[in-house]
Amino acid sequence: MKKAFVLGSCLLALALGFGASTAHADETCNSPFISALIRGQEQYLHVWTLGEVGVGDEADKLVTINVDSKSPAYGKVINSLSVGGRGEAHHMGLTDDRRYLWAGRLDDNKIFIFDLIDPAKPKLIKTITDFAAKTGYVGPHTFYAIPGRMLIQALSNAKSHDGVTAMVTYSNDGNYVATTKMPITNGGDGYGYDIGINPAKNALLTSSFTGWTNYMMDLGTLVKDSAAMKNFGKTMVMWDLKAMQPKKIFEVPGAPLEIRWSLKPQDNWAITATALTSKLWLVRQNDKSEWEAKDVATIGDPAKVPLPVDISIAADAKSLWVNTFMDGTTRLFDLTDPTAPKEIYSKKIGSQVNMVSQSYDGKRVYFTTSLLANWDKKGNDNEQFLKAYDWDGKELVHRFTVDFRELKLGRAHHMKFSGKTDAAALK
Amino acid sequence: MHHALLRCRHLASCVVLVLLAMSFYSASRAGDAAPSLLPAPGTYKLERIIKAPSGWVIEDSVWKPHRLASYTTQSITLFSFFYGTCRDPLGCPAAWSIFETVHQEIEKDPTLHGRVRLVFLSLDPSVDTPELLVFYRAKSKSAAPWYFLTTWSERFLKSILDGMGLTISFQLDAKGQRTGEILHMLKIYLIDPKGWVREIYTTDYIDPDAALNDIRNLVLEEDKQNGRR
Repeated sequence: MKKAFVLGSCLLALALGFGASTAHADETCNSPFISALIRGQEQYLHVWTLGEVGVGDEADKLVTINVDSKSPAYGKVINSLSVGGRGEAHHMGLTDDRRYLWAGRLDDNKIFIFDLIDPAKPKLIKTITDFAAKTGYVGPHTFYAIPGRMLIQALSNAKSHDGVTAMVTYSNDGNYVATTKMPITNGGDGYGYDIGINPAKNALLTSSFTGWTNYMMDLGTLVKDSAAMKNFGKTMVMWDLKAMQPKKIFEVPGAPLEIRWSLKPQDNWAITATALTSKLWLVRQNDKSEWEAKDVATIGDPAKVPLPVDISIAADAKSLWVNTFMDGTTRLFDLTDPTAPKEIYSKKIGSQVNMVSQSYDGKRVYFTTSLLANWDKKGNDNEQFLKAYDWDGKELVHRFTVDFRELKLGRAHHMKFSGKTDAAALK
Repeated sequence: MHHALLRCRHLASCVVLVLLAMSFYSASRAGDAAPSLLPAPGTYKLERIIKAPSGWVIEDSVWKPHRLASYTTQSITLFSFFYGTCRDPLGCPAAWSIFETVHQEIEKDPTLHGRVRLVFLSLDPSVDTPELLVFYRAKSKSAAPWYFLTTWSERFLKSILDGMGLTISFQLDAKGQRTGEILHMLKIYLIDPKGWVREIYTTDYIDPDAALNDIRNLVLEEDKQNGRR
């Protein structure tokens, strides 16, 4: 892998006054090991986009949008990089130095590595095509930076295509390092979904979703299949991060999905939302420093199965955006007391909504629509967009919309921020 | 005269660095995993991440090149990049502080004598010459030898940076000229005697206790492989 030498966001972070030991990611969902922060204004938003039959080139692609309100290109697509084919593009992750962006596909298991040396023009520099063959696992979902490595949570396995799966470690230059199987004993169901690390606690927390058979099935067909509906995750696992060994397994029914640790130093809790039971669950240490999990709030009306999906925690851990896919709504929860979150605001974003990313200062919030190609709504309800809002503490104020269907791009999914650099490369 | 002034400035920078490091480090410990949270040495495996790259370095003279491998194999190595005029409190001063603590702890522990070395490699070969680095040479004679290396030029440094997966860039002034500040993510590498990087520590979560725990883990692993226990 050819490497030039630019660390753009580091310069930007330094320019903005990189403080002492409270470094946390800008999108608060980023790994804490990503040290080059964007604390001020993000310049670009990269959207990992699923190709859609009948839409443009029908291929998966990385779309880059200018999100700097001072730029004449604000709100415009400035780059679109097709990777060829449709393999269920899903999630992405930055390497610890922010130099590379890894993006995965859940169906054909390809992993694309983009060089963000010039974030306005990402370059595809490597494609990993043997993830399944090498590991025996499929559905590379979460890409989580650890020092010098990428930790990937797979969703399924190549043999049975159910949810029993593993985490796989690669070096930053794209070479396989190790496989860590999800536990299937002591209450473990073997399932996986998201990864969240709290380095101060030597803690790695994982959640659980479902396998290839289910996530590639049409949603309408799936919900009528009672046998298939039993094959959803119902656990979270607390791991010893250093040893990569499970320490405790929690029963969390209803498919706990995204994990967000409080980023406040000394805090000892993380929060997640369960997709099928529509609850917020809190994982934290009790008075004896033992980890425990407890449901702490209800999202919407569970009887209607609003399907909570992505969540975004504020940098000060005082609030949490929670999206519900089926009603296209975002909700803001007050987390001042994480044991008793309270919904304080909601807004309908569109017919469907999935991902949410907020700037580090919480003043800008971005939403996209696609969940999975076979789970997205159909017909006119299949809106595909990126919507950008300002949050003034009381109201989401719409700034711009990028209509991914009108622009013939595809289904808009995962988002990552980047910033430009004035630094000179070592060549 | 110029070199003397440069040496004084370099020396003064180093004093500032260490003082910055110590004040930074004590403030930053709040975010570190407490030693009791770490698994005991000998109970866990550190995976092979990347092979330490080959390359040429110089220590005490530009006329005596050494293979980098002579500083990254045959012993457990704690390795980091630095440059003498670094001011970023989260960069070189932090690494320096970690290394000082590890160095002192190894010197106190006879079971680690002769098993571990520490290596700093300069990111600024045009300034950090063997003549300027002579100030640190005494450290290479201790029970935990600490080597300060440099290269002839950026051309020789580049391949090593490539191999370690480290990206650097240079701060520019308004005229597009380098200011002397080198931007890089602080990474400290733990390398086993066969030259494999087994752990990487990065900014904000660099902890000498964790590094020492991992060093002892590798010592036990090596002893087991060699039938010493």
